[in-house]
Amino acid sequence: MKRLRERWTARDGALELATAIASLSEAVTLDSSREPFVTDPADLFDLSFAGVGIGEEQMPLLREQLTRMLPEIAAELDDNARVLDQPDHRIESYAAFVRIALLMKVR
Amino acid sequence: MCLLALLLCLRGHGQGNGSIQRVESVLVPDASYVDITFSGNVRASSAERVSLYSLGDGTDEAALSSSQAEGLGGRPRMLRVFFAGNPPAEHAKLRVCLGSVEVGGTLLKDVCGEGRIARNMESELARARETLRTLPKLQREKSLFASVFLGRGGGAADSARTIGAADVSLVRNDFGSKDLNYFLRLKRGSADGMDARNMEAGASYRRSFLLHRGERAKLAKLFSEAGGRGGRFREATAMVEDLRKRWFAGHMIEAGVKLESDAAGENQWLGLVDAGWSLQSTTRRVRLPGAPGWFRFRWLAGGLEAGRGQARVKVGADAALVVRARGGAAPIRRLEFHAESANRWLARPERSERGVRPWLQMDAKAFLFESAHVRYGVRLSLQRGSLPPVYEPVKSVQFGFVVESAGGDQ
Repeated sequence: MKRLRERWTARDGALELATAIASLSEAVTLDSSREPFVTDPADLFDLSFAGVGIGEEQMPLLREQLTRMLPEIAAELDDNARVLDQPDHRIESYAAFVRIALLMKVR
Repeated sequence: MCLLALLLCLRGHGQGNGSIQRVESVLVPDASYVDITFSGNVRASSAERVSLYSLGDGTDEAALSSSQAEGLGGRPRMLRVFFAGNPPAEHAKLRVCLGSVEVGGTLLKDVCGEGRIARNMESELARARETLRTLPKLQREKSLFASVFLGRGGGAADSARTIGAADVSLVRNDFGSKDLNYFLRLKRGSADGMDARNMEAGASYRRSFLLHRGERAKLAKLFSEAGGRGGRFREATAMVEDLRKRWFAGHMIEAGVKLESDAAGENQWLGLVDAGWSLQSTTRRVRLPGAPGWFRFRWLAGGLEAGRGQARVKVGADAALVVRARGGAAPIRRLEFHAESANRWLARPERSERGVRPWLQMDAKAFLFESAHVRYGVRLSLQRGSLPPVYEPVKSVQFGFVVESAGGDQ
């Protein structure tokens, strides 16, 4: 159970999304070496991208970074770019899309 | 059939005493889990006696073997529980119960929640996409982003009439291409010194590219490698720290065609090709005591506007600064500053003149009250310079009240 838990904590896309955000904005800090990973602000996924300083011009960059980290869902991210590239999105809603897209690949 | 049974998604809203807001679970080969969202922050180590049941019609239920609950990074209101086995195909719901758990600093006993079982992942993805689609549009994509100013003229000649100014920007995305936009922009004023006499409409293609590709590829590799935890993720954390300290995160190319007019019907429309290359900054933290904030900017390193009788080279920048009050008693809840500048060098004479034509527009907004959806404040707007095709000198300062949708910027 522990091994599987580790695998899925890493592959639901949440850590990758937090990493992509933190690589673009100093308003977010991330410690991915801890389990579970630690973010500042602590409720990062309850905020919007705009709320952590990510603007319209940075959303395609964030999606590109995410595509590099999750190449298995590159097509889903690219096909839905118009919907995804909006900084007013709550980060958790974006994460839900990523999580389900990853699950479809598992099947 | 076996494959279908391996992949189920359980999703729904919590029931019971209300402390569980949402139950969302997935069954995947060898690693099924349920995510539980509480009404407040939850202390993972306080969760005890976790039990899971799949529910059928009536009293039909099946217990599932589960792990301890654990916290999730960046989501302090959520717990995740892994479980083994698959619920019977005819079971439509999943119930999760905790013997005790601390939520928002209060120890709760016997907390339960339920979620429905959704078995079709394609429809779940469509549902997630629809949730995203219903959110507010981009600021630049909103059907009308307009600033209208009205006031009484100050001079003797103007004292009897009302003066006003409009700054309108309409941008629409092309449904067939993620990089193509159509736009209409207008800057007009009714008094001398505040009328830029600028109107433009056209189509623009914009594509963004990440910088520091080598470092980013290495970061992605750390995540993709099996067992990439512990030491490797410490390396990833350091790499992220390094990337965010770089001034620029990416670059953009823009190319398009547009029609330009003075918006008064006195001059003919000009057809132009418009292209540019710009660099996008990372978001930088602003360190003010008691007021956290950030700023970002885009630097138009080079651009070209060319038509039958026009050849303009342009450089410029736009920047945004946001500062928020941390304490509840601060009089200004939020301060926003936006600046946009463009310098055009006319390589061919326009209106019989060559040379540099600068344009600067700055907006400062101070929000005094805010709710979850609306912000109220005051706005100071400054415009200096001139814009094509008339290059009418503009030198104006406007002050007024502003009411704005808070959108998702929380």
